[in-house]
Amino acid sequence: MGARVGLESVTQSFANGDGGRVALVDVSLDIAAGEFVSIVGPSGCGKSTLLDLIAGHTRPTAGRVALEDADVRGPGPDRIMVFQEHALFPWLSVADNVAFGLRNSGRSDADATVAMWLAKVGLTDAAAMHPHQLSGGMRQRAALARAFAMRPEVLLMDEPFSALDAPSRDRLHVELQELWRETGTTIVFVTHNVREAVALGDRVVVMSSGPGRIMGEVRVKLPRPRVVESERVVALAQEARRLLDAADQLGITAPRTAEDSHVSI
Amino acid sequence: MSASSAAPNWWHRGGPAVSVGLALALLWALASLVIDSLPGPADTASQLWAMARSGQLWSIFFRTAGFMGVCFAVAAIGGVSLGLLLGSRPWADRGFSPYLAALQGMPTSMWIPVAAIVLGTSPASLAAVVTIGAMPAIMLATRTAVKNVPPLLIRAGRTFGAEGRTLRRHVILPAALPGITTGLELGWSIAFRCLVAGEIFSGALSGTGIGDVIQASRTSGDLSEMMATIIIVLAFTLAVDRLVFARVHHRLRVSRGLVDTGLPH
Repeated sequence: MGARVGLESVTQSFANGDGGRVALVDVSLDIAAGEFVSIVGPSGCGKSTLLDLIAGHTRPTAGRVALEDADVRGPGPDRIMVFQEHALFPWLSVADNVAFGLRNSGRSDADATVAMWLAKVGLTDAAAMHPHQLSGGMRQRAALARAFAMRPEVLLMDEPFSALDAPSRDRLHVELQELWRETGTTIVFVTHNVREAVALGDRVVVMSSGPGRIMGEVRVKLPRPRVVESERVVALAQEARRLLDAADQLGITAPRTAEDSHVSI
Repeated sequence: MSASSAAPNWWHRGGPAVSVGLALALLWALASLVIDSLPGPADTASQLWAMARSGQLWSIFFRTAGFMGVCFAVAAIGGVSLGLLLGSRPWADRGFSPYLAALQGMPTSMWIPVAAIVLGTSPASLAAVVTIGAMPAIMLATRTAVKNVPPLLIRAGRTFGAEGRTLRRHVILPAALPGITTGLELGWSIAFRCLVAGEIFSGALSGTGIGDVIQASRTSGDLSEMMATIIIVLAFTLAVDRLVFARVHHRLRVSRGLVDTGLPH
């Protein structure tokens, strides 16, 4: 089951050469247990920093990050990250990659769990293969199996499908929604593709850059499973798009009439 | 596999090496016709035969293998573990690496006179120089390989519960293995050079018999025994390269997808 995630006026800055860089300013966000939240924003809006904070890879400069009622103090097997590049271990077979986290946490039923999750993502036949022998979509599916097999309470996804070809991505959108419904995991899904955000999320949180803050959000109450081409997804994506355009600090003012609003940067 | 013709597999694999070997032997034969003091392949072969019958051939081969085997095993274990330590402790890295780089650049054989006087002219004294001399190269290569491990893999390892020793053993070590292997190969050749330098410095220091041959040919001016010994050592290094290093490199490349096996992507 999923867990509730709370961020309370979180500010995050990084020290670097010239004085430091502020990644997030006063970000507050409540994510209900089992909710699927998409986060969109331009590059450098601190989306990935947000995930790092929830994962416990970094600590906030100010504010509070909490899981249920406990402060996040470091990484843990209850919060699993899925990366843009699959980040599978190239020297391990698909099955060993999926088993990696299970063995580290000393679960005795690792083999059965691995077999179950490989079957769920349709990779049973590829269990003995190495990541380089798989297509991009299969690799990301193996990464999904590795993440879900840990039975995390929160799944943190950092643009997981942005490097995939469109057909693989569309299939994975549907598969991810099914896995989410089945497991009830809380999912925080970061993307720069507005339509993907609308297709997947219960709500879409729009962020602005320089420094990162939350501009607003769009609730998505469409029936699932959704696909990016659906008209209602496209219509709702325009609403999020408008928020995002307002957030765009780069000042690109290309006209967005109804016809070209499908452009997803 | 792209077998280009109907040629048998062994010829496809070993043919080029055999052809080049024969060409080199021919060049050697021609050179020996011009240079009076250089024994040709035929003289050397009959000398090898005589040495095989007297047991000297096997004695040199196996004593060299034993000496190098022990020295290299110690150097490899010590060098890789210390290199892993350097890679994970920035303080130690900054403190030791400049001196290790200097030691690696300096010919190790310069220590032989020192060891001969401090430790005596026993095989143990040369073994110490060979072992310690090979270690800086292995340590530095291991350290560099560790530093070159993609941060994404380390993040993935952390996400899936690998920290400290587990992270080093199951993520950093396998990810750094190709670089470590290159370092071991370099350490091996440094060790072998150092062994022979010891023999030239003062007779039968390593107890392998190579020094006796050098001494004998130095006094008699007859090089046939020397050439036969060179062939023995060449056969030994060839065997080590083909049976150990080349195989390890190939396996590492295959398991990491660096050999194009023609699979669909």
